[in-house]
Amino acid sequence: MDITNFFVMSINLAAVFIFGSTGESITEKSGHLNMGIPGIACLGFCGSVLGANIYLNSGADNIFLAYLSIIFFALLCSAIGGLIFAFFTVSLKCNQNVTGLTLTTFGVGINTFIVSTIGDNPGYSVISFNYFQHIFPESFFNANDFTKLFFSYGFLFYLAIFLAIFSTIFLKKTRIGLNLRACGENPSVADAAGINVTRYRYIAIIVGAMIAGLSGTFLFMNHFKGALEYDISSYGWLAVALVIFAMWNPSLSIVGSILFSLFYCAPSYFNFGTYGKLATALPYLITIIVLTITSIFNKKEMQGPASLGITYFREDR
Amino acid sequence: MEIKLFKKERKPLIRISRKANLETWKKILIKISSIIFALILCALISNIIAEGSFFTFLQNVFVNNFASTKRGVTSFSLQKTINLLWSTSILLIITLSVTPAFKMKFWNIGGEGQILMGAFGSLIVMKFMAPTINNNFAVLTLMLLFGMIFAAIWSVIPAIFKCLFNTNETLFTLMMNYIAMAIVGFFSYEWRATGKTAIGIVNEDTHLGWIPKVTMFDGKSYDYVIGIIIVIIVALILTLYLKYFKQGYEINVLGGSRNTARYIGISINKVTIRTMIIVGALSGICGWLLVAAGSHTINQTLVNGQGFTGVLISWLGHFNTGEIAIYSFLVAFITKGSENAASALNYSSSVSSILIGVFFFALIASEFFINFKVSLNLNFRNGGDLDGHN
Amino acid sequence: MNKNITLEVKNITKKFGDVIALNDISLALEKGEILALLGENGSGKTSLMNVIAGIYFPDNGEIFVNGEKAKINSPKEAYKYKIGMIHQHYKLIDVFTAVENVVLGLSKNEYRELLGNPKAKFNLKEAENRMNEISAAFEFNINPRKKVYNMAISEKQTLEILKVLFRGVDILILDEPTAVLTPQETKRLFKVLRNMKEAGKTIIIITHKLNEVMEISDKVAVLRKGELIGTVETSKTNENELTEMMVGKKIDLNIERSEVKNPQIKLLIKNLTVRNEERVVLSNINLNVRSHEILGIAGIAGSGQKELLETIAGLNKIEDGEICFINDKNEEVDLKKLSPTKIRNLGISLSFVPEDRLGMGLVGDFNLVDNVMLRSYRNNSNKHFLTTDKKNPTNLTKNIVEELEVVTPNIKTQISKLSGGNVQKVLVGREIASQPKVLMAAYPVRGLDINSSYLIYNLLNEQKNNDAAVIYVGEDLDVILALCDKIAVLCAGKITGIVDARTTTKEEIGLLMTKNTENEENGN
Repeated sequence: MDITNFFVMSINLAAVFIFGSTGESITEKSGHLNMGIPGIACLGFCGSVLGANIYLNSGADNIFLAYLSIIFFALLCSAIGGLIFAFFTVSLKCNQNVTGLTLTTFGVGINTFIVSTIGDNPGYSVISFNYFQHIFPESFFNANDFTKLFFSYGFLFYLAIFLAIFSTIFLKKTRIGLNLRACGENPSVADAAGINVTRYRYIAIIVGAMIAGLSGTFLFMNHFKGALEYDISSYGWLAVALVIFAMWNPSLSIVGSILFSLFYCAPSYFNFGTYGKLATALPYLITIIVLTITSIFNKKEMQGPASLGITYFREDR
Repeated sequence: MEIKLFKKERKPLIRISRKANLETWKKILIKISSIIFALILCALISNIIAEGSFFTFLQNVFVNNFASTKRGVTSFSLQKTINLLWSTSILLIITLSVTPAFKMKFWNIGGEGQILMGAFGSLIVMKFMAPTINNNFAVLTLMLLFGMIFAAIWSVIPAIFKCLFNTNETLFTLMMNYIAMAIVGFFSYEWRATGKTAIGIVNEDTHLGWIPKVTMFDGKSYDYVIGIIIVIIVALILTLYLKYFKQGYEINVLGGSRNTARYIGISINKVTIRTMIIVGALSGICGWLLVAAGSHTINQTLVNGQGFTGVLISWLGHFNTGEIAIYSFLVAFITKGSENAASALNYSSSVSSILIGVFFFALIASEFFINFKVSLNLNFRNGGDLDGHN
Repeated sequence: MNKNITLEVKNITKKFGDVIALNDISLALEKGEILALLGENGSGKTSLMNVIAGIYFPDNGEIFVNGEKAKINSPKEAYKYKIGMIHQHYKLIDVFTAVENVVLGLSKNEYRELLGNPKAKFNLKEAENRMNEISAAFEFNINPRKKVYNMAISEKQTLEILKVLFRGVDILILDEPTAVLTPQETKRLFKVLRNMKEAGKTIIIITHKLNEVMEISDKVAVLRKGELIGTVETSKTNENELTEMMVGKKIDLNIERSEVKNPQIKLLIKNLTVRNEERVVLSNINLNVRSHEILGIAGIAGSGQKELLETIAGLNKIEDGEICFINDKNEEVDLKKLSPTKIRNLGISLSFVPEDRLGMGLVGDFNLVDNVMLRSYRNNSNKHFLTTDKKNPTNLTKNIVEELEVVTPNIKTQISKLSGGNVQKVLVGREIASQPKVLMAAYPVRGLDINSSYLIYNLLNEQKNNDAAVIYVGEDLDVILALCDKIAVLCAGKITGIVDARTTTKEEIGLLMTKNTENEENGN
């Protein structure tokens, strides 16, 4: 039982949650709660499978093309999912929770269908091993425990960290980020200030979906190492919960994601004896505890965007 | 008064405004059109997946749900019809169990976990107490009681936290789902049948805790019949409760206007907790049915995502029992139909999830057309303002 | 033409359906002037300013800014003409800092245009500097990094003013700016306004506080029921003249008013002080409410009438003082600790029509019967212990519909489908039906036509004759004078006078409504 390996494995998995919660944080900052994130992660997953398939069929052997193909289709499929959600909740002003749940059902179905139709392919694990799992040379990261802890991950992992930190800076420090946050806090004030709330929300939802979709890519290529899975929605739900844990701050979600991953992976790594299966409840229990704590301390910044989940219609009194 | 803003100097081309309340017949018309539209769209999707299957799909949905074909002859199948009604009933009771909460605007999406815990409670009786009691009716009653208690506990916890700490019930109940699944997974393995990894079918020999079959008019005995009847009775009781009882009235007031409820002196905490206990009881009945009438075992996927489907049906049915019954039927109808089609046409049964998604999207979109109207501003000369006057 | 005229409106007319909000209004303002726009509620002051600020589009008429004809289609366009409005309800985002609120929605180019510097940097630091410049120039005190939810109301208002100054406005419109300020804060605001005037800004201040008009303005324009009554120079007029312009001559209403027979004190209000989140809303109220009498509460909106009735009904926390109800056995019942339900069970009933008619006391999705049942659903009448008895409420609803002539397809119609006036009739009818001992009616005829209004007045009179104590809060002074027996006048949370309705005059009440006791210390 190597404790370093346990940490490495958990931190690796954390990228899934980082992608998911970063994407959803952006969407929620604009005021919409997208419960379709598990479905969008599924869409990202099947998009990656599509992309991998296309790459394999083209016969090329180029790391850039592999990444390009897989990520492109993942982003495309997630963006479509985001567009559907945005259309229904922003333009058609439908209830966000209901639309989100429908999208999840839909996404899981699409993923199952496309993945089972395309079928398995030994090439996936080859791509995964060759290109995705580690970005630094093995001799480098395997040198000692320290390098293992920091450098044994794949490109997507570092991309997740980058996106999380970049999003935080973007939201806090740029003018567009300010306008976006205004849409989520008080859309009528934003509207009065001349901000196009509709446009900002569409973009936030679609961009958020694309980032969240990458969690599916990561699952496919890095976590399952090229193996196919059908129902990855439990990861998606944890990502939604993480947004609250991280108080809508993507950088904090890095910490939260790692914490959750540790709890998620612990049962399979440590011998809890017969209680192993029970220990799978740990991440969810922790979330509940955090939810309760943030509710008790009612500080304004810890609450989400004031208009989260409320559909904005200018003419409503 | 509200502000109407124009982007720079341009006036918007498409103007969306709320409709004044539509007549009921128009609403029904829009709904029916969207259902027909959804069905055609589903058939089209089937056609894309399997060439030329447009009509085969529809046939599978409409005909094969009620009839079976033997040697070229299609005849009415009571078994299939009962199966369809059973699927409908399960969806119906699942949906009904979340509806009281929704009526008070308590967004409980923990149906999955609450029902599972109900099933768990029933199973405990079935496995450990049945042999000593040895009377099926007594066992079933005790199973029901335990099921309701377990589920009620699971439902009331998020309510208590909401009342004390104002925690977000949507996420809380969501997390409780997974905790329930972990608990069930654990015990399912703990109490596994010898040589197996899961608990397996319980009391297969004694049929203790199994709801008995009923002999129908064709002489054969069928499962599920009693279950269907029980669901109908529960549905009626719940409808009466919400409509005619003082407690039901209070739920409606709380959901209609929190301020008014406070002003009238209704205790929000009391009503919340009481209603969630009822939700738990209903989930318990559902869990009991799944175990006693359905699979006679328990595992993590017992509810199979139907808890979430119930949330959708409840909302689409405007929390109204009659509409909910219709939609439950439609969802079961389309799900089973597309599963039939999938096996007949040889494609994955996951397509049924996609098609149900399409169905729900169409219905969600139809809500837009009921509530809003779209007009084109081709001659918007005078600017003006949109505060409802004029 | 006077080259100094910075803003002029000519023949502005604005209708909302059948209601004429503004009727052919023409006004001119000179640069560096402070104009007070005076009028009662519903006189059209806010509507006129909304037209200038680009929120409403007039049906008729023109606006000229500095001699040029102006088309103002939105608040953003108003900024182009250097016009900015500060509303009563602030448009600020609570969790943002001051500077974030100020720059919200401004693009880099717009900022550069404002400064006249195409190379200006646009970031929060630069904006903070600019904010501090403006603050210094006009003697504000604002911390750009402070979060809005930490700010007092007056700070928020200063921030709104800073927002428009940041966008380079020359004409500022303030809508009831002192409504929520303490006297000290008002003094500070006025100092700021004078500084702005020196700097050449033109200011319009909408108000109905006469003393402030006299103190700060150069000119006064008085509106009444959509008409411009007149424009005078402040130095040449006085409060009495302004009052008369504002309220007009007394109109004779034929409201039946019976004699007061054998009144008994039902409510004893002693030294009542009530505070809401932001400030004190009622201060040291002493009042006796007697049966067989209609007590009118007059005052400008926001003087504390609504809060007084809500407090009696048990909906507000009493900070100091007490309210006692004298029951049939002549015992004093302290209302302080009772819940609203218990207070209602004593026979004290509140019929309050809020701005959003379906706000309190009604559920929009319910039909008429279910709404009427809100009061009585707990009754165990007709052997209904667990179920709701619908028979009694149904009969009651039928009676209400008949007597008050409620226009509705039937009694099972959803109440949100009824017009506002009819909704009100149901609400008032329900309260009256409970045969209260103390009936409080606030704005019961708001928006109703004449006939319906008279129906309500007669109902109130009936209650009075049935030995109820009636408290009436309304907007129309003529009605109060004709309907009530006694009138208590509230101003800024205090009772400025209690007069006999039969002997007082509109002018006397008008003066009491705007009388502000001088020299307050330490904002309440």
